[in-house]
Amino acid sequence: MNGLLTEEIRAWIGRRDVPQRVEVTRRDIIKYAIATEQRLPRYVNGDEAPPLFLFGADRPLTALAELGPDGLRADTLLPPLPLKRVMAGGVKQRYQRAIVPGDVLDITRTVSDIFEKQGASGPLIFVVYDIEVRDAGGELVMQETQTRIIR
Amino acid sequence: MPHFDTLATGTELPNRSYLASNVSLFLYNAAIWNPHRIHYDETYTTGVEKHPGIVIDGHCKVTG
Repeated sequence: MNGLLTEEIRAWIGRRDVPQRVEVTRRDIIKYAIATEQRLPRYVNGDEAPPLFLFGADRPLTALAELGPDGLRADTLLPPLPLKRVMAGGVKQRYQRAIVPGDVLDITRTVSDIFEKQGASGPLIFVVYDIEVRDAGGELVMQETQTRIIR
Repeated sequence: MPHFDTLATGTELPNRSYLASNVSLFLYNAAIWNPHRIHYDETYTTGVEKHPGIVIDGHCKVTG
């Protein structure tokens, strides 16, 4: 271990974003289905969302002025880290039911773990998020584990 | 192409290949509202973030 992770950084474990509300429309599903070249009629017609439809769905909608030079908004759930280059790690989604037009979903993202490893080219920091999607009735619809790797 | 109802463990599925294009990549990132420049701005992507070219989202490769 390299000891990159201070108490201040580890204290971010358990922090969560303000929940994002997403109202699913047929049109949004069709756009996604076209972009990902779906073939099943229920996806192409927007009756049901294809797998991974909810990936990134909790991205806050912010004004252009709030986007950085890379085009992205600064992540409110990424602690200040001694390493700077952020890469996408794994995504694991578990759906309890299909997403359909009319769904009103609340998405909550929580930092569930921060740890470091020694990679072949140097130290790596892993930030793990737990993303929970619930419907208007409070029922769990999808649970996602997302990892970012910082080097 | 086997029908879903006739699938069983061990059924061999035909390969399916995709070729992402600038258009599908743009539409995908627009659909998920992802403004990261590495997916549409080649000068920025190679010059600033030092990728060999425009970066295709992993999901464009696995969503099926």
